[in-house]
Amino acid sequence: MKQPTVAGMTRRRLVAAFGAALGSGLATQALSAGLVSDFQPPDFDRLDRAPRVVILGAGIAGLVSAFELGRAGFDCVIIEARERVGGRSWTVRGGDRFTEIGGASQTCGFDPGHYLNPGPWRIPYHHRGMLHYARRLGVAVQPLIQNNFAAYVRHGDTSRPLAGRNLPQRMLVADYFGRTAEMLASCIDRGMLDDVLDPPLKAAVLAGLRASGCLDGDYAYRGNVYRGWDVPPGGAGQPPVPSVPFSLRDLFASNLVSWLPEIFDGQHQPTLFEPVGGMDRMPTGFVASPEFKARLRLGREVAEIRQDDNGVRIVHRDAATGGTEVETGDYCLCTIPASVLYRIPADFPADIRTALAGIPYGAASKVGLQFARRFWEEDEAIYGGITYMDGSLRGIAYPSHGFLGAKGVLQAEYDLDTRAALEYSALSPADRVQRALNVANRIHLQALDSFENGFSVAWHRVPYTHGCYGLWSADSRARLMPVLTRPAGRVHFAGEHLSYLPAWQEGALLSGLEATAAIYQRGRLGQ
Amino acid sequence: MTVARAVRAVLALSLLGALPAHAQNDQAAAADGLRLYTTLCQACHMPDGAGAGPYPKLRDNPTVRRAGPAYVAQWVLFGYGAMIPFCNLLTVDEVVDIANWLPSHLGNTTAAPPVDPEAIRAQWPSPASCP
Ligand SMILES: Cc1cc2nc3c(=O)[nH]c(=O)nc-3n(C[C@H](O)[C@H](O)[C@H](O)COP(=O)(O)OP(=O)(O)OC[C@H]3O[C@@H](n4cnc5c(N)ncnc54)[C@H](O)[C@@H]3O)c2cc1C
Ligand code: HEC
Repeated sequence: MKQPTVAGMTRRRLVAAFGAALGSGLATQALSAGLVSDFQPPDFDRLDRAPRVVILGAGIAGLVSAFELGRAGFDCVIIEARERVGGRSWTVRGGDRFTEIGGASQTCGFDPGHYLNPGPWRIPYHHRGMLHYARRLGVAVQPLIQNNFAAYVRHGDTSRPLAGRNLPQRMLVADYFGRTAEMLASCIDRGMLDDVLDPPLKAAVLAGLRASGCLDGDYAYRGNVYRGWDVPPGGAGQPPVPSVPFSLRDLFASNLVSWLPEIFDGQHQPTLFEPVGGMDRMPTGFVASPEFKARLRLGREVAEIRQDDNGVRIVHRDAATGGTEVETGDYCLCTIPASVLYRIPADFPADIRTALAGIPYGAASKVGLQFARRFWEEDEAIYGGITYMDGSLRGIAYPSHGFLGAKGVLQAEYDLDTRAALEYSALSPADRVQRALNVANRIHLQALDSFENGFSVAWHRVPYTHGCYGLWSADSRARLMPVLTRPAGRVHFAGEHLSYLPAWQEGALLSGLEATAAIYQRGRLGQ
Repeated sequence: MTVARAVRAVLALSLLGALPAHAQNDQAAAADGLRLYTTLCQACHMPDGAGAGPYPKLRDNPTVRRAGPAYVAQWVLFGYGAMIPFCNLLTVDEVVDIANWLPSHLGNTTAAPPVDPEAIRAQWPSPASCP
């Protein structure tokens, strides 16, 4: 087996390099604390025979598998219920029509060049698999700005300090570091921690707190340059006036510091990317590749999954007319979300049926709001990033493309708090848009005036998905996931839900490649 | 009618102050049942319990009528398939309110007895099995 590579170095060489620099104890720690996914580009020898694989679902898991099995000489056909590839990797543009479960229809009114990614919208730098295929398929990516210190945090609870104000995130971060360093330094300076700090360590900690918290000679925090100014530096006639930090009480009693993990989260750290033009450039990039050999059957719903000793038999029907056909193969790779699959007639053993019915899907809802003017940029100098807030809608994301342009689409952000997201999903599409606009207008008073149109997707109302992502409990992950990572006879399972990166395309991709490797081995050995 | 308006209308109509304590509690519980239905269950089961696609109709639902609140509570606590369990999302009282509300609303009537907080608490799934 090949050595796993990290940024082009073999793991062993990297360990050696770290070990030399940091001492061997730290070397293993630095690696295990890494964020980088364990993706390795598959490298299968081409088979002489061409085993047939029927792949169910053309999301990222199904597409990556079709791509790699095709390169290894397998004969693949994909059965996909929708009229498009991508599954959850989906982009909505002007003119697109979407009918949700329950029958409500929307036609997107965005101007050309503007879009909403209702599902996945960002690819962190450490999702090496996704970026590998973007590179390989020639899908252009651009930075997606997730953390922007000029965007706001905001809470609306008037019983707490700092309610109802747009506070730039730079203030929160500066004051959090400053106030905690100040408090700790003053305790240490007064000898309160002498029993745990020997004199050299005490000096080092004090020096470190002074530097990191921007404290003055008395270990007092009086604000700093990255917090921002009351009067910004100007020409010779306008000397700057620093801003005054929040008090320790206001800072902590406001509870705004609870947003810090969101800002620093490993999945949110720079650099993140998005495909130029919309996330669906990834799935369409797979299909457009000359190396992609699979036959695609779009608009065909899988109706039955059958198998015997000789092969698999997949019954599928035209999603519009109901006319059925049968596809046969040596193996099946099923990437249909468990929330849909558990009800499809199949001769799976009982433990698999039970496992498939034991994975509920989390809720999420997104609204795209098009405005005639990019007031967040023009008036407030916010270019990308997210404003975080409490209440029914927990974030507004500013576009990372089209800067300085005429119009823009804000993403009234989904919420992974299931209850809040369900509350959004329970509304009609028009009411979701109205509610998101009202919230946007609370932050940006210019919103109502320049609002043009909106589009909303609530994932429990999306046909063929029935939710956002597989929601495991500690117990179900331990009991049920192992059942589904083994094949049921000739049927292998894959998808976002069968990974430790739930709700990420990288998870779908890694799961798809695991199943691909297993099918490749069987095909090679003719089992 | 929006959710908030519906809830406000129910509260405004009720003569809370003029009723004996147990009737007040019943009315408040019913208002909570309606609120929970319209803000949460409706995301899948649709306004008015109409159902659609994979989500069963809860209006005039024979099983809900026959098996009553205890049956609804089972679904709400444990979920199944595409229905999420609510054990991490609702309080004991909220589960009681929705379980008692559904079998006698949305066109349902039931002869089955109501559930109480003790019974619900006793069945509550362990935190490790609650997603
Ligand atoms: C709101 C939201 C935000 C997200 N944000 C991000 C993000 O920022 N970055 C990121 O990387 N990931 C994100 N994700 C997660 C990402 O979308 C998923 O992990 C990934 O797309 C799942 O891929 P998959 O192939 O497993 O499933 P899917 O994409 O769901 O593919 C399954 C396919 O099966 C098809 N299918 C279903 N039923 C049938 C049937 N009966 N017959 C035939 N075909 C059928 C479906 O139509 C679909 O095409 C987000 C998801 C959501 C919902
Ligand atoms: C995420 C979507 C979703 C939500 C939210 C949801 N349900 Fe369900 N519910 C379902 C699905 C799907 C089924 C059917 C599952 C199956 O049989 O495969 C179901 C089944 C039921 C049933 C059984 C119906 C019958 O005919 O026997 C009841 C009762 C029920 N739900 C009550 C509720 C209540 C009460 C709420 C709100 C607290 C709720 N549900 C919220 C998806 C949902």
